[in-house]
Amino acid sequence: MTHDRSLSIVDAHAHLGRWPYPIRQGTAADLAAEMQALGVVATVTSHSLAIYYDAVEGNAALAAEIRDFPQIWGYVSVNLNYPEQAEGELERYLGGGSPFRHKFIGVKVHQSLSRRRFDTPEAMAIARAVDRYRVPVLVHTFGSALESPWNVLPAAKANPDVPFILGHMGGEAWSEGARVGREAPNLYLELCSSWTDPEKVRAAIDAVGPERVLFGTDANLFTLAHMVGALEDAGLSGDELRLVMGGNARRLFPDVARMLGEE
Amino acid sequence: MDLDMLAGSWPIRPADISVPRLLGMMEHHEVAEGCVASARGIFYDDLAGNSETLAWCEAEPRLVPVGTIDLRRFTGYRDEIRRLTAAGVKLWRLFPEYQGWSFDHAPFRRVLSALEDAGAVLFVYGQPSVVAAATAGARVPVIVGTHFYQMADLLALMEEGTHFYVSTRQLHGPGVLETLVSEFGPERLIFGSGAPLSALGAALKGITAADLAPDVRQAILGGNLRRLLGREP
Repeated sequence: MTHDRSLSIVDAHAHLGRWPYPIRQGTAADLAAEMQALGVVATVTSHSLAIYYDAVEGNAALAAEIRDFPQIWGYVSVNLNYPEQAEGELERYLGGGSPFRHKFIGVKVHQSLSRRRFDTPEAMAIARAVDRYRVPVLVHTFGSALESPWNVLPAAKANPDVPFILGHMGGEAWSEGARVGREAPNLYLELCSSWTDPEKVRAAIDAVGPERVLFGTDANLFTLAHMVGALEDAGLSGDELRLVMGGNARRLFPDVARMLGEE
Repeated sequence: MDLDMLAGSWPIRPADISVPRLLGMMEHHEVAEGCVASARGIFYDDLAGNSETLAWCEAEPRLVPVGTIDLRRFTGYRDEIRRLTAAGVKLWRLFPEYQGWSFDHAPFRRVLSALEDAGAVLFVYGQPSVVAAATAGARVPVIVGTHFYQMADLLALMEEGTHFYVSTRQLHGPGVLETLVSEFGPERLIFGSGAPLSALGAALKGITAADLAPDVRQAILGGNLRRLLGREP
């Protein structure tokens, strides 16, 4: 089955930068070419340098890499071990006078790579700080206690105007991700994972409705084709597909919709 | 031809892995043949599971039977391998990832020896270097299933001359297939999806979207496995 190119896909979870695996270490130009080939019209990325090593360096690298690619946007990565630095990075990239504000449209937090859960006082403080900018926060979630999607719930409840995206929807523990998603209306479920269980997508929609489920790919760690192919097997209706594959991301990221000339 | 399919019931998460669902997915994606094992053989009774697998495959020519031995039970393994070999089974799977044994488990060596005598092909998931150490010297072609996060291990072993075949199921890292083909040739790669537990579409699109020559793609999607199993037309 070939996928429906009219879907005009928006990828809510992608990356740039290098990875500690012998894979193609792709550039923004490589990602743009892959997007073009698979009908992905916009993508929101964080930089692997920022989540693996140094958030300040990585955010700066991302700003430079995506500058000339209108279809590639940025998440500001923050490291929960450095709350003051995190607040500085939020203001640097998302603040009203920021020269980067037109390219950075969300915040990325990685629980396991920073070895910090998202239900700590530091994370709650960062979530409060994000409330000033009203952008979505993408939090890496998986099955361990450190990465659990449940860790995101306190911040989501305390900051109801901030959308929180459960990256990977809990990974292999996606049924937990679905349960957490029911607990607050500002929680969104993002689907990418190595484990492409067909039931996962339906479980997400059953839990939170098609309006709060987001397509993501984990590119450039994964090929774009992996998750595009996975969604083809999910058995979604046309309306559900349009929402999940891009409609919801356009609503969450109005800058993307404006760039696409849809607002 | 898909290396990696299961059917039956799935007790450890909600999933429909019935034979009709499997066949529906194969039809939808135009997969001509699927190598299938009964999940009963993983979780409950390998002998009954193997009999169930044979019955499905007798009723449905698109399904190719895959035998299994539960190493936790072990006794009777030689008779079971003889029984299934006589029924035409060539491909065998073992399931340490679900049954909780390790490759240095002595029953693994005994079963490997019996599979060798039967002229079988073995497919297992595992850390490549662990599987290589456990199968060193065996005359059984080994197809290993591993995530691309283990690619360094895999590449180093293949550089050292380990003649693994590799399932494509979890090789969804950018450039991984292309690297394996350019370094070691296309014949090592065997298409596997993990359907119906995993999306067949994801596995297929990973092959069709990769930068591979059409003949290489065809070899990966079926030619290599058919040759290995002696099922070439």
